[in-house]
Amino acid sequence: MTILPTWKQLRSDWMLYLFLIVVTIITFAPLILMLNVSTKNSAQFAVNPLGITRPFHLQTNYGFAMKIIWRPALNTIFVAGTSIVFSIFLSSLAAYIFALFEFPGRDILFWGLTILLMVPTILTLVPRYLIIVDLKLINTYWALILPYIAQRQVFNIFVMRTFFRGLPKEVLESARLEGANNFRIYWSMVLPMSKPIIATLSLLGLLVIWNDFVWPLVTLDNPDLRTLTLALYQLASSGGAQWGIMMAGYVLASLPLLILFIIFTKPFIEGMTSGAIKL
Amino acid sequence: MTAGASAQQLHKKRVARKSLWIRIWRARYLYLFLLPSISLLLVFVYWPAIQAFYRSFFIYDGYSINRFVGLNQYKFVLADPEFHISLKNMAIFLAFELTLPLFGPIIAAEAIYNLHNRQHQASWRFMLIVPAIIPALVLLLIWQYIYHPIGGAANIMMKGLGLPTQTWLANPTLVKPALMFTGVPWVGGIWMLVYLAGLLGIPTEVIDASIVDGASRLRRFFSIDLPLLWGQIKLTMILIIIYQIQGFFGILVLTDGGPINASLVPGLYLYHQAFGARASEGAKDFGKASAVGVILFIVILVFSLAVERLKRSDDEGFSQ
Repeated sequence: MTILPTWKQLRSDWMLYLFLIVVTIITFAPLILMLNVSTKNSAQFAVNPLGITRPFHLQTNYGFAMKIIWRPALNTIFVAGTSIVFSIFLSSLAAYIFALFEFPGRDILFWGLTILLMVPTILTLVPRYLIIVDLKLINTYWALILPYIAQRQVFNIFVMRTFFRGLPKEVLESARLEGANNFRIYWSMVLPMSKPIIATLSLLGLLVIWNDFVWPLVTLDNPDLRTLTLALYQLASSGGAQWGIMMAGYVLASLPLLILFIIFTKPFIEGMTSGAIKL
Repeated sequence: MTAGASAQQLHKKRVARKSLWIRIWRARYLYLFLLPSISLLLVFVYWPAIQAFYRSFFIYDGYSINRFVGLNQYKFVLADPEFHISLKNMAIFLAFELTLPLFGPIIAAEAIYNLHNRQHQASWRFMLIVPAIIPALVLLLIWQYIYHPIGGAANIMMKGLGLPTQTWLANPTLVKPALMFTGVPWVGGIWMLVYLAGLLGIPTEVIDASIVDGASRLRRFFSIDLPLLWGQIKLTMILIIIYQIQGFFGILVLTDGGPINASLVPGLYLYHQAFGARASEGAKDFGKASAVGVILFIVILVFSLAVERLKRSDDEGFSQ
């Protein structure tokens, strides 16, 4: 990965490079701050909060943070993973049917979906909570998973429907002539051709679910089930100014998504730029 | 003759009806595959949306009290000075979000798009998306540290510059700018990507033609790039508006609307009615919260339609 320009490039594009370098430094400053503070014990923080202090207390801080965070992290991974897999499966199936088939009621059903784009989450927050209470799902994983699957559907179906309509029709048609049934065409042709958009939608969904704070706060109070965001929030408000441990916790909470993103950068960007994401 | 025609029509209708049933029967597997998707939407999106309207006519504390009160919840909320403050704060935040945070990503995308080196385009794009992958809560909590009065980075820098230290998030006049500043430098990773994709999608002939015509880079930006990015800009605007009207997560984490309601927004007002600290003291009212939700829904609808119209009038201007 190259970033810095040669002299020749600098002569024509120096303003662009200057802008990008400044913006990048500002963007990364809080993250560097987090990494730096995560190495300090309380005494070091009290004396010199911003500078680099030695020795690094990585084992103590990260060890302690890990103890607090591992269980919530697993909860979040389980909830997010299950929700994403099911929502992508169900919504890709629905998008496939809406995109490539004619059947009675299709337009009415799709119109019903379009309306949902107008429904803001703030309108449904309280009634959704009351439904979860009525279904006796408070303090279960289902309180998160089922609404997440449902809510991700709308956007996913729209984007995938656009994407599926752009797939080469002749290829799908020739598969049909060779005797493949509709589900087989979906499973072994449409899905594999849609890897980039699936990667993008999964990652966008993962970001939303991983970041969600209000819904778990409202539906969970069992410490064994709490998600990563709840654990971080409690860590932050536990006071005691254990900044080193807190920051170590924040770093650990950021790592899984960062790693996933670095692995899937290419399909993610391909999907983002495929033109299907515009509504 | 007319009788014969109507009999023929009747027959046609019957055939059509029969064939409709046949078509539905033929599509039975399609409906079957749509069923799980649609039933989840019915339970967790459609039904709550309808319930929101219904509940807003009641006082409901979740336990014993569930009384029909007509429009009283709306009357109360619309007359509540606290709700007025929250609307005013929301308007201020929204106005800010429609300036730098709206145009920052476009400028960043332009900067990357105009780099002559293709490889550098990819690397800088990567550098600017990475921060968008850091969990939002983590970033907020880092800012909570930065603004901390004792040992926080902001006050250390103030001291270094010889300026008086501040209690950033606890100061009614500073709290709004402090919250806005957490988005610095406002080049928003994901949006930048969307704009960059839009720019890369502009046909090269258009750009070549403009170069041949001797258009300056700035001229090209205003008369080619901006109009062609209008779809993406409109989408960003709608999403910013929707988020600013209903969102409250960051404020809940950093200030809980304080100090003295200086950062209270309508979404948080709703949250307080249903789940907040005051609600747990026995003043829980899901009905009032639902009424707030309905009001915000209407506000969002009006704003979204306004932005939608913005496009249409612009299109008309274009074709004239």
